[in-house]
This record gives sequence, structure tokens and C-alpha cells, in this order.
Amino acid sequence: MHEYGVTERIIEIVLDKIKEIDAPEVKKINIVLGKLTSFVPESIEHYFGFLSKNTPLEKAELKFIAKDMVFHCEDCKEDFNEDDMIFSCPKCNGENIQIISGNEFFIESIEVNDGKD
Amino acid sequence: MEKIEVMQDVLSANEYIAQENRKHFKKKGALVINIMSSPGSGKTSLIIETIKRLKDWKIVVIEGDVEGDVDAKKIEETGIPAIQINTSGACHLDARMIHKALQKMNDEKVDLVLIENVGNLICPTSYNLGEDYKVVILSLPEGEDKPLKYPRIFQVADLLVLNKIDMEGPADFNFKNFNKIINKVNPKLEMAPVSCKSGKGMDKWIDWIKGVHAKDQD
Repeated sequence: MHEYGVTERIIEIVLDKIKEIDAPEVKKINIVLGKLTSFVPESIEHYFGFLSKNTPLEKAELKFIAKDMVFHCEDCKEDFNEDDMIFSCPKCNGENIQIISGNEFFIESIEVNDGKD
Repeated sequence: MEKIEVMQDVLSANEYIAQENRKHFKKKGALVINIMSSPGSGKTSLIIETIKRLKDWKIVVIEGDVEGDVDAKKIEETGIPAIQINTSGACHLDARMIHKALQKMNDEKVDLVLIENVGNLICPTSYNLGEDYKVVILSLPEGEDKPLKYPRIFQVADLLVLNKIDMEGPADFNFKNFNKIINKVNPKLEMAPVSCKSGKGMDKWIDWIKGVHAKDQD
């Protein structure tokens, strides 16, 4: 159920947006999702399938743009791009690690039908 | 097809409501602690034992459960009001649920609000509630390797309460290994080993609450 609430929120945001721009139908929703968030794209897609029914979003494809985890070592000032969570600096073993990227979760853009294709 | 920029954070609504909750709690003068753990590690027991030891404090408990009010009833037996939130399937509390709970509180001043989150080590880490501190409980029978499996919760927490220390022998809990793991996951994490059953170590936990409460009043 973890993804249920955020899927509702995604739909809410997009519905607000198309109301604002007066677009009839959404084709695609581009979502930036950091690897450090524990949200699972397949699960969001699953909930989206039935939550978007009978809305202008029901035919929309969800595109997830994965954001790598980037860490910064406060000790040696190096940045590291990692696939997994790290707890100490791979270079100097320092433990003052800051997370620079990987926590993102936002709707970057939507693609709407403008009648041209 | 036309591409329209949105650039809107999915969790920003939760964050906004969490900030509102924080303001409301501050007005009440309350220190707010969000207690998280897996099911069965002793969240309700810790809350009950805390209430017994802070008799002069005005405490309110917010109980988050998927279904039912078993824990809220246990809390109310101590004479402390418990506000039950049923998440109807959701595996965590979010700021909106706490906002609703706040509306059920009267205008009186409160010293301490203890929020018992839904038993889960993953989902609660993504949702701020408007709390001042996050506390995670790990009970010895769960094993010392939990922080390696669920690192995030041990990183967002301000304090780790290590419960059921009376079960060290039967639980086969390796403290040496555990300290190594915690050093790797979050070397700065403060720890309070307790047994809610025997009362051992509870003083340290109570001192921690008093300490952060005093700091909050500054």
C-alpha cells in the first residue's frame, strides 16, 4: 500500500495541471524518482491503472526517470555516484557522508494531446 | 504531442501539512516524538512504561494502526487520552492523518505527544508528520542485522531504543556485531538499551526525553 497515496497525489497534481492549461487528455507523465526513495515504479503503475480509470489520465503512460544516488564526503570533499547506499567514503573511509542526490520524487513534465498527432 | 513542464514535488503536500502540524504542536507547547519500528518490537509497551514514569506530564498518544483500536484501549487504561487513527490499509502515518488527529485534541497545553506509527521499517521513513524527533525501536529477537536490511530508518532516526534486552541470551543477539553494523549505517545514532518488561535501562530513555524537552523549551 506504500505507493497508493503517492499515486493518488500524482493524479491530483496532473489533473490540476491539465485544468490550468485546458488540455483534454494526457499521453505521458514523466516522473523523476531517486533511487534512495523506497517507492517502486511497478507498484505506482499498478495503482495508477485503476486510480486513473475514467479520468483524462487513464491512457497515460508513466515514464520513470531514475536518479542515481550521489554522495559527498565532507572529509575528502569527493563526490561518489553509487548504486547502493554507502555509509563510509570509498576513498578516505570518512563517515561524514552527505546525500546529494537520490531523494528526488517529482513530476517533471506531462505530454498532452494537442491534436497534431 | 505537446510537452508541458510541471516540476512539482509529489511529497510536497505532505511536507507542507507536516509544517502546519509542527506549528500547531508548538502552540500547544508539546514535544512530539514519532515512534517507529517493526510490528511486535514494543512500541505500545514503551509508551505505557513512559507514561508510568512521567506521571506529572500531560501526555497525549496518537495511535496509528491499519485496523482496530487494541493499542489505543491499552493506552487509555493508563488514564492517558489516546487518539486512534486507522490507516485503512496504508502502511504508514502521513501528515494529513496527524492533522485530523490534531483536530480531536482540545486547546489545553500538552507536554508530550507520542505518536505510535504503523509497524513497518520502510514506509514511515518517507513521511514527516510534524514531529520534533523520530525514534526507532529494535528489539533483540529481531536480530542484529536489521539495520543492514533497512538502513534508511536507522539513518533518519534521532534515537535508537534497543528493546527486550532481558532476552539477550535466548535471542542470540551479538552486540559486538551489532555495534559494527550501527557504526557502518549511522555512527552518530544515539542508543538507549531498555527492557520495557523489567524496567532496566528505562531511566536513560526517560532522561533522553527530559533532555530534548528541556532543549525544546529554550
